[in-house]
Amino acid sequence: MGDLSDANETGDMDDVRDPSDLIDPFGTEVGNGGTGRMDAAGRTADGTNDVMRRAREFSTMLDHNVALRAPAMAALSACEHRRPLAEVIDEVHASLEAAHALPLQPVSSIVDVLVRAGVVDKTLEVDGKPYDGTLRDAMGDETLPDDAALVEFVTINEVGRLAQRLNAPERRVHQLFRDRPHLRAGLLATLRLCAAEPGMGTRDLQEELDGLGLLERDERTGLPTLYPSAFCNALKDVGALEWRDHNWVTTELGRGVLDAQAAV
Amino acid sequence: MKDLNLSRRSFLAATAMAGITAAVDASPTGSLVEAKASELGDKPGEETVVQTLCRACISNCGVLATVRDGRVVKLEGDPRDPMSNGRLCPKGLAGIQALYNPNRLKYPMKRVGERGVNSWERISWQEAIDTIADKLMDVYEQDPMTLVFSSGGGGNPQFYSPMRFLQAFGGGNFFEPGCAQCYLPRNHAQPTINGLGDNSIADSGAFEIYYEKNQTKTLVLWGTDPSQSCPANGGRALANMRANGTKTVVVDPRFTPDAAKADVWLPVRPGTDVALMLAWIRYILDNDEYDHDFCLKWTNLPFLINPETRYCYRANELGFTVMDTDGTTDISATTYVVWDNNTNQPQPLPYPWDDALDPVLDGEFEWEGTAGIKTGYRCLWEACQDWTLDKAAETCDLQADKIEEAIRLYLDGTPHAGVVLGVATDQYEQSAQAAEGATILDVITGNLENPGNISQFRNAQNPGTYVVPAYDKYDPTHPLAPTEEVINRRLGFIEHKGLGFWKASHIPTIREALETGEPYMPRVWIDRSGNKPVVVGGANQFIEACKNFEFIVHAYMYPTAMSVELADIILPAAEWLEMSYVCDRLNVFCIRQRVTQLFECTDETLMWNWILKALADRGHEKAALSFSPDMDDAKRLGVNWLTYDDYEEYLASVVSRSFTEQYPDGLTWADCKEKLPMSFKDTQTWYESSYGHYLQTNEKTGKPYGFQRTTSLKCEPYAEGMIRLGRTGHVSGKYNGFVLPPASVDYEPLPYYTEPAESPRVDDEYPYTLTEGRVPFYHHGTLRNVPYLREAYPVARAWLNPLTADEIGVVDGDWVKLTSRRGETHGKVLVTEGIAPGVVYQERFWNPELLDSDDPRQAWQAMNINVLTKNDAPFNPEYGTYTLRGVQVKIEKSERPDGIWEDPKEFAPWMPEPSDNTGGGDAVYDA
Repeated sequence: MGDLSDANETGDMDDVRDPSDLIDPFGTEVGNGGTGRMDAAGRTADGTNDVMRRAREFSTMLDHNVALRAPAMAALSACEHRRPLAEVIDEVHASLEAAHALPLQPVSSIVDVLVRAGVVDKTLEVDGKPYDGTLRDAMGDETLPDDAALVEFVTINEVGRLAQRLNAPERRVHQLFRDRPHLRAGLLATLRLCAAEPGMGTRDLQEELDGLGLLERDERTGLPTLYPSAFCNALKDVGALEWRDHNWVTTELGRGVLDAQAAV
Repeated sequence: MKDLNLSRRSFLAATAMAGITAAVDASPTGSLVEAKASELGDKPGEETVVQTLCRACISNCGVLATVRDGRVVKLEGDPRDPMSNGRLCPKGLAGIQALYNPNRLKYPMKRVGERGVNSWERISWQEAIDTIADKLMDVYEQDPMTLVFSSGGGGNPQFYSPMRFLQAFGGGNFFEPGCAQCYLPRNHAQPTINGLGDNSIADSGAFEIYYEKNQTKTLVLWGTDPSQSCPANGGRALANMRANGTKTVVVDPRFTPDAAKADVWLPVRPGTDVALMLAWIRYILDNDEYDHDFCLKWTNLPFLINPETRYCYRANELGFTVMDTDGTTDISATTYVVWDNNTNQPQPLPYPWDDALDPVLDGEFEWEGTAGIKTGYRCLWEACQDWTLDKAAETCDLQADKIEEAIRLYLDGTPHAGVVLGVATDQYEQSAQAAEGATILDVITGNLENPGNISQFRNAQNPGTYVVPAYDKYDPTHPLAPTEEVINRRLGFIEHKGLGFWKASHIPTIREALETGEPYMPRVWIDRSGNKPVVVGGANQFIEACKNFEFIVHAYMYPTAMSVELADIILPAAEWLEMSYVCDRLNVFCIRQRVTQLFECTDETLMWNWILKALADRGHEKAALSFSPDMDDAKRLGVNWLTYDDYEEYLASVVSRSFTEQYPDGLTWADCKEKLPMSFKDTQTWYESSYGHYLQTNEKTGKPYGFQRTTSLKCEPYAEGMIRLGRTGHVSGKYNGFVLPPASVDYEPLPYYTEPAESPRVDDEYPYTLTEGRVPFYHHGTLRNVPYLREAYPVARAWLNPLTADEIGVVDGDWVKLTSRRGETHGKVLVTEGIAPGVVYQERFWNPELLDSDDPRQAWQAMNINVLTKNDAPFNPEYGTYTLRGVQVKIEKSERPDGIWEDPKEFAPWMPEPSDNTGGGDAVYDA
């Protein structure tokens, strides 16, 4: 985790560089999912940044579907290599279940979201051979034998890889501190207070933050202009804090933020 | 369905035909439930008539529902309803089509895919309740204020049930798109001044108009059109009044049916009503047409105003000691002060009057080194003195002589005249000021508590129309009442304290919190009502912000744009024919009873209680208390019910409170079904006991009742209560027992005029002024999925004056695109002299037929003027009202939006598919 003290700069943090500057370090061209060859910055021959646009659209969609973010990114990671869809679903379901983070909707529909968003490609094999069509097409295809084995495969594509980088937890933490510098002290204090086991409940956190003067009470009304949940939810949304057993608990990502600060 | 000749039949005949046809031709589909007639307990073909109340809007008109073979086949008005006398409007008559609409939400569902995709999976009520309760338990422990609960006027919600839920939950923010933009300003400000109540016909106030012996000589309809907003109730009563000789003045930019029949129509420029009101007040004062005696003795106009505090002086502030008539009670702190002509100095004026004094009504004085001590009258005069008829005419785009004609008509009817104020003035930045101005007119002319006046002492039964109460209704210290912290943390409330009257938060502040995460990020939204994208101002911006909610639950009868765009779980709400309720209609208690229950649809009060029970089961102590018979005031507030039978017995207990003499043991629900409608007071007494009530002696105090909702027991046109509201949270000085931090600006005690923030006077880029209003076919965002109503009014019409139409280059029937600084939408042109040049009228609209299109967003964008309206500052200081009427737009010729339905035959897929009584959601879920 880079030093967040310069979170106003996009400068020297390779992992979280502004995506408009993203360049494959070996300068090779990258595929674009069939829309035409592009350079390493995702620009097509006519200069448009189609991959970037689609990756950003995917990021915006995740912003508008808060509850989908974690399972969607987990599913995206599981599609790193071409794999049967059913295998991906089972694996992601198991991992989310173990983390007590199963989404409201089934993992299969999460994968559908990724396919619809164009970050994952889905293909079909019939008896081990590529089939030009969807599962529904194949099931209605009279030319196929009734006992044909139909297997769907999924794999991440260029848009998905860029989307992974755009939505990398470290990047999102960086953006949080960059975009909301006035919350910096409160965010760090929250992470520190919730780092010790078993974490900290909201009431205790409110008392601590208020004692530190971090709730920014309005002079006229005497009321806080910030409440602990402002910090907690901001950190939770980027994965630096989680709610566990009735307490806010700093995650590994959040501890990385603290370590980075300590190293400054 | 048989093909009907849609072009020649009348609506009433069509409804009857459709009802019969539906019963005969009902064809089972996968989602219908069929039952044999014998299972329903009826003989095949036997009909029963069930008395109930409509809830297609807030009017609650009486209905007789004919049921055959377990299915509703006919609806007609109930002649026993004292307000509607058997009339029923198109919305009510469409009840069968609403009930059996094939697109009904039939069971709980959860989203499959991302928001904006219209894809759902059925779940059980158990899963739905468990999912919601698990989420709310986390929210409660993390920060209960991050729960937002919204309701609305459309779609038959209970008014106070969201607040009740939030209080049992222990926090949260409530909003409804109306509230500060609909009724709250009048509902709060008018009694603050007149000490009685508001004068809204559509909200079932203004009871005087229903009296068969009505003596109203002149009625001023200011920003209200009962013939469209409540045709069966107020529209009917108004028609009778006109037939009996009542003169009417209509103040409305639009030539409505009521304007067409008015003696004077003032097509006021949208957003300028307060200027006109100030001119009216000035005319009345300047021409000595005010009621001298009433103003002197029964208003605070002679009271002296402290120039430093701006409150009326109390006796002790000026060194006076005043004892009550018992000789032992010091009332110096509650006695007001006047300037006495006899002694030429300030003197305390004990309530109600002192014949030894000769108070000055109009004056400014100096006393013991303090200059500028004015009477309330002087302050009122100074507030209006610049508003001559000519100035008002110029500001409001009217003619001075017509303004005078209207005022004279009102004065000619005095003291048997009245002003009724409608929603129009609630919908822009001057909502408080307009309510104040309209109320002052009746006060200074003495048009209160005389026969024919609208302002009367005739409150609804307690709890009246709003049966399910919040827990702090009777005692702000109730264990489930909101804490001081919860109250202070309601978003936007400290700044706009009038919202506290409805326990509401400020919608734009909620939006800002969603956008910035500060002061905290709202996380969960439960919405009970139809279609927020259609009814919230600045819809684009608001809906975009709402996507930051982590979890959204939407409870309604049909999928709407709200469901598709935003919801994660949708819950099937009951239609009014599936619900029970009780309601006092004038002096009569009436009943709504469930005629049938379909699929797994459920009354909302059950939904909220099921969620609370699930929370209680998870250890939520407040939720658990709400189910305890040991809870404080349990009988009156109601122990939360889990079955419909228990709910109905609670309703019966409410009715019982009005009939303790006749039925000392109380009434059961079975009794109510048998006996209601029932009068709790004879009609003449109910009406006429109000006349002169303020002069009658209160036996407890030995003094006149006065006007009981003001601090002074007198009318307070100098509304010092509004100052106190802003500084403390309530007109009395304490909100729920707490003195709250002050707003950033003082609320003014008198009306003042502010030119709309977007003004045609200076806006060359957006030159036309947009306003909106009611049509009789729809209520807010509701009923656009009902075929016969869509046939009657299929698309939103943009009213343009012929001059405006020529400017734009359009003719009647063309389509136009309207664009504001916030978005664009479309309307179909109606060229009419009934709207002024430079002004455009269009009703809110949405298109359910587009929900299944490639772009479901168009369902709420194609013809929705609320993508044009404002959700940002300036706001009304007192209530936080944003601007829905009086925004500037540009208009250009355009094309009809793709995919919208307009031809009657296109609505055929929505024709009713009758289904059988399943017992609803409470038949399948055991809480």
